[in-house]
Amino acid sequence: MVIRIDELSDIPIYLQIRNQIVMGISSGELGAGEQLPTVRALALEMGINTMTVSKAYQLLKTEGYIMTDRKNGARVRLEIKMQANIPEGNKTELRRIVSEARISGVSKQELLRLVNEYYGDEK
Amino acid sequence: MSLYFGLIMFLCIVPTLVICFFQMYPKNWQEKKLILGVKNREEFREGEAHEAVNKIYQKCRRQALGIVIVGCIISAILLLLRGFALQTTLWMSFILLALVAISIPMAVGNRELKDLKRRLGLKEGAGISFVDLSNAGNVRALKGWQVALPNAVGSLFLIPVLLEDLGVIRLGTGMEAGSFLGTGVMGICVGMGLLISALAFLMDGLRNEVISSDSAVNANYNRAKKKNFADFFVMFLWVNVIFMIGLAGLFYFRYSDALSLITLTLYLGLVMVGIAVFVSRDKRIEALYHKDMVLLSDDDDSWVLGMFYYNPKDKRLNVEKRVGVGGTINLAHPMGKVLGGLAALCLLGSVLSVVWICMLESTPIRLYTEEGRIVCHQLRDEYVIEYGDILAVSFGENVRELRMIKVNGVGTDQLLKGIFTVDFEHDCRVFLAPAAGNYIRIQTLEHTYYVSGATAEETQEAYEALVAYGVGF
Repeated sequence: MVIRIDELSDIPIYLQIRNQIVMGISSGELGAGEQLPTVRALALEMGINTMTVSKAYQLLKTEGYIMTDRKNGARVRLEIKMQANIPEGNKTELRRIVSEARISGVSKQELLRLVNEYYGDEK
Repeated sequence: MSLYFGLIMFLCIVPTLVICFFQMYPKNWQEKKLILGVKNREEFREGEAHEAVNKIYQKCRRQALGIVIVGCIISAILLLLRGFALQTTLWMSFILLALVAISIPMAVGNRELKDLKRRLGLKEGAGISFVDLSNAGNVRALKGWQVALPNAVGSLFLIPVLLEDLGVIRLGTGMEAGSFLGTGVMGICVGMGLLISALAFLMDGLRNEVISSDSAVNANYNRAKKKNFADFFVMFLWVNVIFMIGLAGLFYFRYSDALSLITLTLYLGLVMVGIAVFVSRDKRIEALYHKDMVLLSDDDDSWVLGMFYYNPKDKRLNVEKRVGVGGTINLAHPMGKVLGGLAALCLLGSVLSVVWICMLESTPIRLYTEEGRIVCHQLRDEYVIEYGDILAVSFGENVRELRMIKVNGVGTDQLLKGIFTVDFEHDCRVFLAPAAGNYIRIQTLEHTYYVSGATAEETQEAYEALVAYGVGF
């Protein structure tokens, strides 16, 4: 799986890493139990500090997407706990996206088509 | 000998210039990943932008071709030169100038292309980088034993030479034991092998390039590139071993400057062939994967003149070069700054050393007697021998008859100065202008001196002064 890092983005790099790994898990590009690169290897490839990668992995671990241990490094969890609800922060973010789309004249159908594309085609 | 030296330089610089030209200014820029150190974007291949880019590129290519042709002509003219100092100075200056000159059209073109990008508002991909999670840190082509084996074999040939220099064993008649010339040269070769090994591992550990969204393509591309690097470095290591075997043969059996130069020529020839094979394979890999290169990341602004990488946000020290092949350092990295400074110092040092050699050869040595002592003087070096210390003095008619091996100092066609082994006698102080022809051998309590003036008359005059004083007779 290829991840894309934007140095000029307002989103911190550790969050960009976290978001793209989550998207990878959701789309199936990263399978259950799949090995992730070590913190050091990923930092070296990206040319960033190991602390940044470590922070991203820590966040993913806390959120229950990956598991880490000293021997095997980081892996995608075999079973990700399904809470079946959208966290408040994401709801606010979704609301912002919908609002911006409405103001800029994007139709509801177009928005739903995108949601279907991102959600429906995945898995 | 000077013609031979010139030939070696010619055989090195002309192919280097030609390889540089084809590597930096390939014919079909449309099919390349980079143009003059700038990422080759889709927009460059259509409409007005295509015309503008082509105009800039063809202008730079023509200029570079002109530089290569002029460089080859100058190299041929330099072949006619005689005299070590003049040859060394001019060849060194020419090599530096030629390598800088062939990069100038590229630097100018790089600036013009970046200006064009700004004018066209091409910003897509700026600050973007891609990482393949499947391949991060996984793609390697170099095995430890591939590097360890040639280094071990090479070191084996150093041991007998060292033991002979230490007087522990006696192998042949090639070199005089105790001069440490053999150990020094073989030691440099072993050091060279270790340096090549370090570079090999450095290149093998380079970041994997992401050219496609398909991890398998990325893995194959990077593996092919790294395999090419690994093969080149392993080949270089074995050529180094062959060179060491050749040198060891000379040291054991029959050492001569001419034979060592022939060995050096073969070594350089094999390295040049290796470089040509490496470049050609690299080009083939790039051509093969060209159609798969779909991801656009743009870090053009981190490449100063398209050649020097300066990116404070990038924590990596070594990155793949944009111009030519191989790697370079991130000059924004603290270690990169140190290495960049060292490289600049080495460059300056080599220029200054050439100037110094030139001064040494162009300044005549002086030999004179004064107030109860004999003085040899040139630039900052001086031997002062008090008459009272002299045990014996003899006069030699032909300096060429002496069998001399330099241990430390200067040994050129015009000047022999420093510590030498002369006719199997170690630790002799030599201060000779071979052009004078004759020489005086002075034996003191501590050392044996072989000295002469710049001319035969000057030597004769100093000898007569010693005779007149009855010193050492």
